Amino acid sequence: MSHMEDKDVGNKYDRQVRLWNPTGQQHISNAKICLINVTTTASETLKNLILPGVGQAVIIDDRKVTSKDLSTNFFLEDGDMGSSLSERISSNLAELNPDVTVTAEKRPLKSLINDTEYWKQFNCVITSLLFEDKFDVLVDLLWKLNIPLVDVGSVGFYATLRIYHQEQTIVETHNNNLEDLRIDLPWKELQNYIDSKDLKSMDDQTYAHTPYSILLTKVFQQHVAENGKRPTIKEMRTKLTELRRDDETNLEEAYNRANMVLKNSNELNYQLREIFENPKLDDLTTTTPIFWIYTKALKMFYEKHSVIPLSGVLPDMESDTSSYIELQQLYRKKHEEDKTEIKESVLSILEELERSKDEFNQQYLDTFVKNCKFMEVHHGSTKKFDGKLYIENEWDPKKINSINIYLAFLALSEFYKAKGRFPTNDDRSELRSTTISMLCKYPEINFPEGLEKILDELCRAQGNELHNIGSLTGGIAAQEVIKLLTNQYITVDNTMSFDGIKSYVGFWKL
Amino acid sequence: MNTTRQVNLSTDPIINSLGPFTDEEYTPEFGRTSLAQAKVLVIGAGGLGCEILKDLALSGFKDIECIDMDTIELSNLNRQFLFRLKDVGKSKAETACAFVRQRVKGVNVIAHCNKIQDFDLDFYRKFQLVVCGLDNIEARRWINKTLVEIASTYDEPIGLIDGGTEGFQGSTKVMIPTQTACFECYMKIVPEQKTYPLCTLASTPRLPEHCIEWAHVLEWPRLYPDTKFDADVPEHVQIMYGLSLKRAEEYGIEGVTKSKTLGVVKNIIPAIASTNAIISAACCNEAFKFVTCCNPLLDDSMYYNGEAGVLASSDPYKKVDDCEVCGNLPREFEIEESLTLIQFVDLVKQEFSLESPNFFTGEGDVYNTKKSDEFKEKENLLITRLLPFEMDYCKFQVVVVDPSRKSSLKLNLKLK
Repeated sequence: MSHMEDKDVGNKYDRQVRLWNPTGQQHISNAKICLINVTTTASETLKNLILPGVGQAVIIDDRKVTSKDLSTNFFLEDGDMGSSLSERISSNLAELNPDVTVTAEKRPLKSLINDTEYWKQFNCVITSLLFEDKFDVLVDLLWKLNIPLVDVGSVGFYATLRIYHQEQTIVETHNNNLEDLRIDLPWKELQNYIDSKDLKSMDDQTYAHTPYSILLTKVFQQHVAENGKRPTIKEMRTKLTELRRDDETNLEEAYNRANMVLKNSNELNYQLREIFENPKLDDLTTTTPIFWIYTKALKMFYEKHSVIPLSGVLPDMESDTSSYIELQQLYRKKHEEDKTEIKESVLSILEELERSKDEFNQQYLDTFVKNCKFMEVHHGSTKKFDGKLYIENEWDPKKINSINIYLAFLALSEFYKAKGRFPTNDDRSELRSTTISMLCKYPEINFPEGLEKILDELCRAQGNELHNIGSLTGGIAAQEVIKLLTNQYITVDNTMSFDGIKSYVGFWKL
Repeated sequence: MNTTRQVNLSTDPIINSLGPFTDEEYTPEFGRTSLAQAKVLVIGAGGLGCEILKDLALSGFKDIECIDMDTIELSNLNRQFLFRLKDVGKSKAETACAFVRQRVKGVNVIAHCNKIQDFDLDFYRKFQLVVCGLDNIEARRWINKTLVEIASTYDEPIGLIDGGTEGFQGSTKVMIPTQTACFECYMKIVPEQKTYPLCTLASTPRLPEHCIEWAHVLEWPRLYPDTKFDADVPEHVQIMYGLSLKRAEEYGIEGVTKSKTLGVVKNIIPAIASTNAIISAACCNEAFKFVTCCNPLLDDSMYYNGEAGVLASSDPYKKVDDCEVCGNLPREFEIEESLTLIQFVDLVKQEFSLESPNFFTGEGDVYNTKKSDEFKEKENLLITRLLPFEMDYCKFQVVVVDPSRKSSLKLNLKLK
């Protein structure tokens, strides 16, 4: 992770670089994104990506501005009616940030859709209410290129978002629990250091300045020695209370963190277990993405040591400066040693595969080893829907409501494709029939409870976006695109809907 | 053909018909008139405020005023999208309002480059709704208190919708003074600002933050007793950075940077356009529903977190019974005409979970649990005999003091 340079402090991007670091900003500035089909939701999404400085944005839409567009879209002006929608939007959005190039694509989607080379230039494609068969073609095409497609749209009080992405490998998940104290499993140097601290002979001040991780380790080890098994939190707390001489802050910290003894350093979390089982690791080739080379090195490390590399992150602990710094140096030294081992494995794997050593990158290694404990891999699908969702979530009425909203948008798309317009209050029964015939593909489910009301509420909106819901959904979509572009934080995996009546988001995987 | 913007094209379909979740008493006329006549006040024209002004104008509100005393800074431009580089140094309120007036014609938007404390109750009483996009707790508490005062003094509850963001997270609260939890009621769950113990700063620094706070809190006032530190003066920041760095080097602590120095001394909260868009729109969506009644409101507050996936849900939040701002207001308390003094005492005890209450009015004691012997004779008398009633209302306010409560209860008795 690189730090913010002095010259960037207080500049236009100061408040966001504090979230995703200069490396994240670099990725955003280098990115080229594409938007197909301008809606208010879509242009609000784009606004929220142009402001933080996305490199380039291309808008594909060959329609003219209508009074419906003008009603809800802040980036259109009186007098834009009848002009090219993509041109007016590009010019009004470009104004927001001179660092960004925004262009309106002259060619229509139908002449670009089969041109694979054209799509390769983009890091992410956004579509909005693209209710045409071309949408399915696009999904397949981008899927094969492993370019993420974010499909987002809102009508009335409802909105949905779906990410189609073959594979996303996220290292910097920004988990706040990176600290790894190894209370249950100190390495040799740490054990020697802890043994060198004799609590009984310490004067009161030194005693009160002993970092809580040392106290926890000592109490833990004493309990294991006496009882042959790990202590419970309660047993830890009893023992820690006995250790009090006065009301020492470090003992209070230890008491409050007694649950740390439940952590088994040999155990992998669910995500890592699954990542280690990925068949890619047994079939590395000359083109396997570099993430998997590092992950192979990580797996080898774990198989050898039964722990993952130390993150090197030490939380603040009540202590005097020198004791804390001493301890911090022990953790950092171990972290560096573990990192070197990973580096050597990566280099030897690259050599075995006859790949260039230049593929190794120190900054990537630093980030990888520090964050590997909580990394995530998402594998998407091109499925539009799965009837099992209703069965799996039947106990959760809020989730069912969210799935209903998503399903209602699929029905809306079918209706639009058939009629060339959105349904109104007069089309309620027709939209219901559309939904019923669509559900025939999923014989395992009956007409879901509550769906009818959602369909009726959609009819009420007559295909109009409400500016607020568009703006809110555009904010959500922009956050997801930023997470995809920076490859930091965790994207939604992979479908969600928003209910603007209940103010509720539900999400699930398709 | 009409080529000007008609915001109502998108809102009319919703307003003109009832949806499956709309209250049965709703009428389109009501929704239309309310929206056309509502006066809304926006507090703050920053990250949230810019969005709120845009959102309200495009929701069909016609009468908007905005207060913000700040001027535009360079670091605002990554999210405050109504401002351009040429606007740096100008008033936020004026620049933002002028932009919205120009972009959405026919909306009356008035800017006030002031502090909220510059205005009196009569100014605030003009509004039906206040939407806040503020960056500090104190201003929120002030406006909340003011609106609660208006609600209790004039019986005019002005809706208060509050938005707040930090990084990928944010929240929206909908408050109706005296009826729902007020902002002060939420203070219980507002996390306290992180502070460091002075002795850590003075003698046992361990983190870069400790070195910076030492320079900020202890060293600067010692070296420059006559100059108040100002984070907006670059020379001051440079000196502060130098002091922090020197301290860190002395103690062998790594990680003091200029960016971190500024972050700590200015208490900088990371802010991005997308989160502001989400929270502002959530606020204005509630504002639209609040004024038109076209659909139900959320359950008190919504919390959003985009750090890991997308989480958002709205949760009910109860009024805090002894809230310093809204808990101490007189409340109506209905009783049966046949109630005796002791029955009344038991009823109040039970209703408010009291331990040993003392009841009195401006005229003297009514009942004292601790001295129950003194009231033995009166115990079985009707409450309507002991206190004067007129038109079903007790003429005196009954005050109840109890060790379980920080403040007294004020009851206005009413016969059922």
